[in-house]
Amino acid sequence: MERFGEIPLALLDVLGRSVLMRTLDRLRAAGVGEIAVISDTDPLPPHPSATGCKFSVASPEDFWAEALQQFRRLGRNSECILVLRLGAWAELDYAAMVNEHRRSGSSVMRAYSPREEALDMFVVSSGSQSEAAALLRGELREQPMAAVPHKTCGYVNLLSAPASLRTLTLDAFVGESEIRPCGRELRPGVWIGDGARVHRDARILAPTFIGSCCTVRRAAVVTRGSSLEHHSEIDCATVIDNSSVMPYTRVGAGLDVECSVVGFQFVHSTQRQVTVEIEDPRLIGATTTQFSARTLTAAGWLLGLLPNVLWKFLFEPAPEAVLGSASKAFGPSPPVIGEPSLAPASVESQTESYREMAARRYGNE
Amino acid sequence: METSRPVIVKRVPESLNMKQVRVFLEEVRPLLEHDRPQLVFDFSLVRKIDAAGIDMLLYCMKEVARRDGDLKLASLTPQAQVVLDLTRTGRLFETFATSVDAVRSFSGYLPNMVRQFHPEPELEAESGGKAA
Repeated sequence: MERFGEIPLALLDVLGRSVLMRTLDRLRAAGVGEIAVISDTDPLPPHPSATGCKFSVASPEDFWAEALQQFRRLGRNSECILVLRLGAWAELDYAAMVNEHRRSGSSVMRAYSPREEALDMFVVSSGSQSEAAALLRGELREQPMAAVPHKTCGYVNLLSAPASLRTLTLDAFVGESEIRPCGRELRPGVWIGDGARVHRDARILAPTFIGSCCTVRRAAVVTRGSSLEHHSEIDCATVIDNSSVMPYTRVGAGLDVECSVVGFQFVHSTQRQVTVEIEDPRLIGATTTQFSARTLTAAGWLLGLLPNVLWKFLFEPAPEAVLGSASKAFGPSPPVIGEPSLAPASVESQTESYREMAARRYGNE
Repeated sequence: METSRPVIVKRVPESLNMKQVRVFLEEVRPLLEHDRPQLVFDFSLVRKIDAAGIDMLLYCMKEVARRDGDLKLASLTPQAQVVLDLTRTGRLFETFATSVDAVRSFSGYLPNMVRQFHPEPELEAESGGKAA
């Protein structure tokens, strides 16, 4: 499948940076000069072209023809070309692979994982145009006859399903992978990106990553290797447990997200191995990618709050005045169980009951 | 004297959004008003649930509990299960793999003496709910 919410897994963030961007960083570090990236989907911000590569979007029909064209263009100025399909996250020593390719004198070399799984990663001599054409027409799936194997001993995650994102995140937290969270380690095992806002009543338990410009609201709990990617928002009293929240995703109030990948109105449960589309934005919604729209939304929310605050201040009695009343002593009925008004309960009332629920579950941690 | 009460199996529509919930609730409301209702909601068709669907389930549970009855869920699809887990409502209900299992579970509440005269509770299928 290799996609989640119609977006290729390689374009999704893992601990603050996408697999594509991390691969570009590794290629640059290995001394690769010119890089061309072809995708069938527009990437989420930040755009890969910011790293200096040539990025193009091609339709599925023209994709491999465009790849061949780029191969020919790059082949004019180079001895050999690395052809990668993302795909897998492989901590491959690209420089060592290219050197081995030179020594072997072969036209095509293919990388293999430590478990001897064939990876869609090749080094092709720029003079071998016919081999390159056959390779790209076969969408890098077919094994070239003349390919020499190159076995890597680095970490490999095939990213074959959304659950692989969770595996990659957890492997990064425990240091099995080279991937490091993009943020400040605020306390051991808790990384926070720039501009993230965490309510003082929220609980963040290590290891956890909170990406840049994320918002974690009151009484929320983020725990057990969870990662919140940039501009995501966790509403009041929601528990994020062993899960990944994708960029620009809003998770509603009072939810229990456990062993899941959440984003773009989809929830993938790694336990049940099923992806469910959630159409209700009160459960899983999206935050906008534009700064101006986000500012306007926040301003609108603040303005909407003012009349309520004024009304309470002017007309409602102080809390001490009603504390002694019998109705208060018995307490109201639970906010979630009521007449089916088919409208969400108020955030304030939900928060208290959900907070108790969260405290029971995570009280000793 | 203790008598066996009917267990009603109701098949839930494929999509539990606000519009479908209103229709479903109209059908279910008379069943909720029985004395000590015994209900099974069959989720085998359900593919989508939103917050209105969850509200409806909680409302039905409240009404049934008020009349000292019981509401059980059966044949939950993975999609339904994920949404129930997400909204923390799954833990409030007893769930069963099939409607038949859910119906049989009600007989466990009958005293042994009564059960020998009523080995299986009477089953009523509503709106195409041929679970048994």
